[in-house]
Amino acid sequence: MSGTPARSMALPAAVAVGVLVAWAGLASRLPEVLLPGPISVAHAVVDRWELLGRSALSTAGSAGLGLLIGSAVGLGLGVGFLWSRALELAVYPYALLLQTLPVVAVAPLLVVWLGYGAPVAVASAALVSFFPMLTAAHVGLLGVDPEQVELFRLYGASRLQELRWLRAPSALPAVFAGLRTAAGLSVIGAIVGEFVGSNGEPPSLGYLVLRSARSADTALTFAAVIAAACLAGVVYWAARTAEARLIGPWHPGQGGGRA
Amino acid sequence: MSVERTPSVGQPDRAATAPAVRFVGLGLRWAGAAAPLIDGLDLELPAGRVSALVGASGCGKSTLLRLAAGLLAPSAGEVRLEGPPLGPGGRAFVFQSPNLLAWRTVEDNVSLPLQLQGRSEPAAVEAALSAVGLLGARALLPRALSGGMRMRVSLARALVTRPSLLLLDEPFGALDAITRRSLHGVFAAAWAERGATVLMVTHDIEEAVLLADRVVVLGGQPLSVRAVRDIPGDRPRPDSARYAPAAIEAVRALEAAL
Amino acid sequence: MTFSERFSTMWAPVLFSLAAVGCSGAPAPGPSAGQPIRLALNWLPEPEFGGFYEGVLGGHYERAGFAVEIIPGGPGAPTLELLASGQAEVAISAGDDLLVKRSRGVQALGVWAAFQNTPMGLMVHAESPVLRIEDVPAGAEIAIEVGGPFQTFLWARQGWEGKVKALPAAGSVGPFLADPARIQQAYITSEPCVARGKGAEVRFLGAGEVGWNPYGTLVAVADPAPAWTDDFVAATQAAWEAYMADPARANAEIARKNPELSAEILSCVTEAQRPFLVGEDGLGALRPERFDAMASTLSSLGLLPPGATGAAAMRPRGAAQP
Repeated sequence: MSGTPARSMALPAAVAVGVLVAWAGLASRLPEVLLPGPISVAHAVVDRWELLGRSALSTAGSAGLGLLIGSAVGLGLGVGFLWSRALELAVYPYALLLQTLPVVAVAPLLVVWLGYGAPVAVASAALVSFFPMLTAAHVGLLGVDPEQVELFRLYGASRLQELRWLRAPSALPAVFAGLRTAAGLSVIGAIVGEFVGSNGEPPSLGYLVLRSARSADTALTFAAVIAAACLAGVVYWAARTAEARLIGPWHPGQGGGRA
Repeated sequence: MSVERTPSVGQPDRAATAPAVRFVGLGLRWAGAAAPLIDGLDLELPAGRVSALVGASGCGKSTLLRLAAGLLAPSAGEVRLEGPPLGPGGRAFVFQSPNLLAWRTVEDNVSLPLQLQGRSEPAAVEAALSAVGLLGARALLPRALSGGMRMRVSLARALVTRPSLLLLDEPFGALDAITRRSLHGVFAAAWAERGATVLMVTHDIEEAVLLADRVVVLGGQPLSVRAVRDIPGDRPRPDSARYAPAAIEAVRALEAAL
Repeated sequence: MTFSERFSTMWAPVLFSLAAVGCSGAPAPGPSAGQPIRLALNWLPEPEFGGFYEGVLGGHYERAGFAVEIIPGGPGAPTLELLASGQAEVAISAGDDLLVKRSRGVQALGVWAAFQNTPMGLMVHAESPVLRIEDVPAGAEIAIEVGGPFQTFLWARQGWEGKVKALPAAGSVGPFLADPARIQQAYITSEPCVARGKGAEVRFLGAGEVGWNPYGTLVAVADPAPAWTDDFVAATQAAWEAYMADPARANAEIARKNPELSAEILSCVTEAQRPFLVGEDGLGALRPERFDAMASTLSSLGLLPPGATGAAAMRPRGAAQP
């Protein structure tokens, strides 16, 4: 794959221009309540900049904290599964079940337990980011070259040494792949949590989407959706950068591997 | 030619610290297998010498090596290491693939066995790197190395704890012929210096005769010793030693036993 | 039954009691002296709660010895559950919701209602031939909360099963505005005014006219009722009467809390909801017959056990303390 900086900027930019043109064309044929044009969305962004910014920050905070909690629990449980087959047998089915739990259905419970707003968004983001991280840790920690494990055993390495110097580093590529999935999901999770478990204090992107749709302010809805997409992009980019920094030098196909 | 010199193989003084390996009534049966892979095998491999285990691929010679390394437990009999007890790092294993940790530099790969024992001995790492001629590559990551260089790192990692028992599982098997020949010299020189007991599994009889003091031909199911032949002559031997008449004769005789 | 309903039926009592154990600490004393009351709304701050804001701003609650903190809600706000778990002293609910939750173990009592007639109904364009809910023709499509009690009621009572199609409502009036033939579920406190604000002429068809008429903005307290209930109800009545007379102060506060509501929508909603608040019995009244009627309606829809009654879910004004 070629990845000159100019091309890697120009290609997405060309797509963006194409999408904008198609969007404007389509919007000019539809009433604004169905599809606001790029110009009116841009107006909404500029006019409501302060509200959008505060909402995006609140959502980013919830997504980030949720991702942190989901990752910590997922990775911790992954190590637990590595060390205890019994724990894996006992807990894995429920972890799977948790993944299918619709946040919408339990949002009222989350509100009762945690209160309105950010706590529900954090819990919802943690809930959706937990499973990809658990799977990644599980696969990554087990997917070690058996001969390397033998090597460590031969030198009498402890379980902790084996984890720290062999399994954890060798799981990093899988964990980062999981993190990329989880990072995007955490933003969606936070927004869903806000959508069903927010009372507008503080304002958040999920709340803005809900509120603006109710008042038929589609331009603001789109602005909030675009802010959410930017947020997901930033989170993904951060995960990707951390990945390239940490494992790029040695893991083929990541970051530096394409150069 | 070295093969024809007086048989004063090994270094007796150093051999005193290295164990002889004795398989006594050794048996191994995989769980669920109909017939045992190894059944009542007796074999002695001398202290401070290089022994080559030769056989068709899949016959179980690598399994025998894992039993000697303690990576596998026998289902019957025992593996006796006769000599002074092995300390930590007294036993080292070189796998067919280099098995380097991709995220560690050459130097950090070599120091891993020391690190696992909570030791930090830069001098030992330096010596091991120097023995395989990789001092200049110490800061490189494995992905920047050729196959032969990776194998040398793997050997340096095995040597760094100064093991008295060195086990090698077809260490040249995955390399091209030219790289293999250049590595023979590196390996042979490294062992000769240390006087360890070396067990090397190979399917290349010529390689066995060139590098080893004793060649054991294994085969059959259950695994049995088909032939044992001591190769006289000092080590390390130059590559040309493989063309000496005695060496050629030994290769022929051992091939017949395969 | 949907998954979520089954989930809450099976687990809600267990979970709520757990939550209650975890959260039943004594409420922290409010900023001003008096009986602290956390009042949980079942939707965002809007004129349908105007009287409560007036009660705080106009000092009605304070004079009656209450320090009221209003907790706004949102979609699916679990107000009765917050009440049951001790996180609110007063929950705003609706007549049908209270009966269903009581049947699932939530101990709550209706004591006062702002909306004598349910604010819920259907909304059509002004030029639509549909003048009453009964006029909806076979083959029509209605955007509605699919599986909700109102939808269940309509399809069962109007014989729409297999004739009228229920479309999931996305909570937006956009599709309604774009399609003159569109029929949509609506609250008099919201969608009709939003649609008017966007230039559409609409007609609101109240659900009460076809027999679906639970009380709205129903004030619920724990069952048995706390000693302060009568005083709170009296203060609430006074506050709402003040709000009906002059909504300006409370509406300004609502606009501050909920900036998406424009001044036009606020005043439109304030006027539109008036007749629904007063009804036949007057603002605040509760009648046991209506709770019984609602309970039997819910029974017939399978949302309550057969033979359920509703009168016990309410407490007549001024009932003596046990």
